[in-house]
Amino acid sequence: MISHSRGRWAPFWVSLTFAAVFILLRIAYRLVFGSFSWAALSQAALLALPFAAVIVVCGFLSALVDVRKLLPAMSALRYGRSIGTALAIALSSYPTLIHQVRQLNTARILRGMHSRSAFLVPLLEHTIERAVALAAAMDVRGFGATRTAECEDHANISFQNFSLSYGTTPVLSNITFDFPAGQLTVLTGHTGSGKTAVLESIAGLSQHFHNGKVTGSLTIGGVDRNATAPRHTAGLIGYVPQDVRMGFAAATAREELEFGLRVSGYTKAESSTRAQVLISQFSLDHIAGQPIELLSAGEATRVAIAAALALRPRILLLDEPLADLDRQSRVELVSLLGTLQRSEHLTIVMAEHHTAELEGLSPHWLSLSSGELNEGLWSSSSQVVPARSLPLVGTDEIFSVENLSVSRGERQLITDATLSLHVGQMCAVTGPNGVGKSSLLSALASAPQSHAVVRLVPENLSSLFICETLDEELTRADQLAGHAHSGLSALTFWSILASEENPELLRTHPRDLSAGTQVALAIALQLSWKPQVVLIDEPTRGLDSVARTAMAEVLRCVVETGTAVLFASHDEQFVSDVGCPVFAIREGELVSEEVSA
Amino acid sequence: MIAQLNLKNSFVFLATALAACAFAWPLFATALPQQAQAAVPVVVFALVPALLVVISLLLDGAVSSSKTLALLGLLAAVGAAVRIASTGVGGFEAVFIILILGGRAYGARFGFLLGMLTIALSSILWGGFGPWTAFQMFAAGWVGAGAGLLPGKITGTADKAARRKEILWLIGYGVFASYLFGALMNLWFWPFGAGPETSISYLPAGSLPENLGRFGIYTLVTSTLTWDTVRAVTTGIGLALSGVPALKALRRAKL
Repeated sequence: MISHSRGRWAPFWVSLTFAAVFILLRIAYRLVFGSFSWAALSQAALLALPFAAVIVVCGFLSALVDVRKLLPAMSALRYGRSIGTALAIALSSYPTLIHQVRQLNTARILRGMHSRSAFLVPLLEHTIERAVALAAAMDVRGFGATRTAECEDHANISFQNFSLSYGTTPVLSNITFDFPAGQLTVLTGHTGSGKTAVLESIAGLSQHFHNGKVTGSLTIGGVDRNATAPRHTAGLIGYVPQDVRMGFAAATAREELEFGLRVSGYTKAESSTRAQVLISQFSLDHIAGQPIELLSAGEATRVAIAAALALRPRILLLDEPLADLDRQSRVELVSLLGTLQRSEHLTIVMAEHHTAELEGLSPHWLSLSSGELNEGLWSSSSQVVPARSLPLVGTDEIFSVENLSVSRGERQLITDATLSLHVGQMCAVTGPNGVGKSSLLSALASAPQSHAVVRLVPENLSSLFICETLDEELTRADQLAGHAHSGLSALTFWSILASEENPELLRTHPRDLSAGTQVALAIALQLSWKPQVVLIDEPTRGLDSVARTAMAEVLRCVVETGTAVLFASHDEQFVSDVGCPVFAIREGELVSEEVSA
Repeated sequence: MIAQLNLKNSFVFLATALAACAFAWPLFATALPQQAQAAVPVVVFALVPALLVVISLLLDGAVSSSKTLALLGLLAAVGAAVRIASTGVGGFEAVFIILILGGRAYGARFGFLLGMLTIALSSILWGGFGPWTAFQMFAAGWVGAGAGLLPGKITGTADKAARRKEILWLIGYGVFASYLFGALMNLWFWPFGAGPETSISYLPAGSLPENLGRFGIYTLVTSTLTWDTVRAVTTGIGLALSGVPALKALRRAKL
């Protein structure tokens, strides 16, 4: 948005500056490398004028012609279409990438890394993750489709002895099931049980995008999925992936909807009309023009659902849409899905941990366990760690702030927050999405009295990871904190995971670890500095119910060392399970709440 | 199919060679008769953008998959994002590192397009369109393509020694490319940049050795000792510090 904010004539002013510098340089060269006389200098300036004029004309022309407006025309051409599309992606995605660079830079400072180039590797890793997610989204939306698969009226999804494997790893085994058309089916199962693989197989991504090997058959309304690429079923299937923000290409919700439509071959006029209809239908009017990275999780999910339904598909696939939402947003989204299913006769298949909210829609329940599909709800068979009471809290106050004000951008979020923490104390901050929990933790971490006392585990915790394996990451943490070869971080990590050292896990890329293990790693990395206070943003992000119970135990282990823990969470069940003092953010104030029994 | 590909490749090669000649016009133009000389810069300024269009049309088919396009677009944007988000040294230099690593990981064609698009994007963002834009796009494209053409390509199962060797190659190339980029951008611009009647001026009637000598001094004092050296050092250090894991990260996305 840089050149927008600088105004239309910015290129012209830039070119005038360039031209002036050009003339000055010519005079300088004449002075240094030629003879000095006033006549010679004015001659140098005069002779520089023609080229300076060329520079200014170029600037004038590029101010007249807005390349951004030319791009859509370019991607509609027969030739040069790919490069036009790549440039359009680059132009629309750099604002969110700037946001990412800033986040990674913050994470680099949180990790205590001083080298400026240290964030290049995590930045590239993030970029590639986004590119893959975006490419998958483009494929599902029909980018480059040459035909549309002919489909029967009943969009039945039918698995027959279907198995899927990636390389040598089996993912789904021998599934035979007919998903009923026009109904809501919910897949349950623990993390890694293959829920995403079922959805991606229906979308065709497992077979055609991730190069999975399949046996058996899978047909969707009579279309052979294993032989039909995702782009050829764009009008039939809409897909909402797990981390919806990863697949966003554009800078605002409106541009995102238009981009998706243009990718599927709509003209510019058609796509802006259709986008406006979707914006009204999904009540996105007030957020349509906002920077997409500032949308709350609930808003981002609604944008993604609107984008998935843009081509009026008959099947909608959703991967854990409720995962990051607070209770209010969950209720709203569930009612939206119910309405959509009834009014559009959509076949909806979704994977979800949060099953309680969905019961009102009386869906068809399925459960997945190690790649096998069964009827009914998944219940965790693994033993639940019994909740222990919290250890005694010391009387020594180790951290306090008074009258702290927190703002995000120009918005004032919290005024006059006052808070103190004692040795071995655990506290929670709650409140719905977007109320300012993350901003509060960041502000606490950067307060002057926090220096060398407080360490923050940010919400996007994978940005803390800088190494290629878990082992290297733990070793690096010891080095950074100035106690190389102590093995302290590894010790912390395995004890908060409550498990034996696992050589296979040690060789894993940190970003490939399960969500719960990533949280444990991030906490261990920040504990390596031996802080007195750890701030943790959303420790239950992406965790299933078993992992959530385990996370409560992890936090108890941390406070037992005497470290104080303050965590932010919108997960009310988790907060009450932990049973610690709670602060809530209400109407811009941080208020202490009674512990609910 | 293969014959078609080879035909396409030879056209790409031809266009590249023509563009290289256009960059070096001050060295050729002296051989022309006096009357024709004035026309040379005009021809060059028309030829280079035209060749750019020809090459991008020729390479367009090589990047048609959604994965390649998404990577191309996002990697081109990353350079711009780093430049905006960070201040001081390390802006344009990070772009060089990304160009070299991208060209290395995904091949010469991808590298060329990445260089081209990165410059296009930053010209759009900063409003810096000028007679130099097409030349810059070519030069940056060559930097990316060169990294893809270097020998010593390793496969997925390479050991640590092979990876280190590859990075040493890339560091050497990065330093070389930093200076070459500067020299190339100076070469076509030199007759305009220096102006007439100085000891570093282009001599329309001069001999090739004489002009080469003068150009050498021009490029040395205007950029080799300053910008190019900063770029060479930061690119080299950046590649040494993060080259191995960064390449590994890029190669995790199989095209």
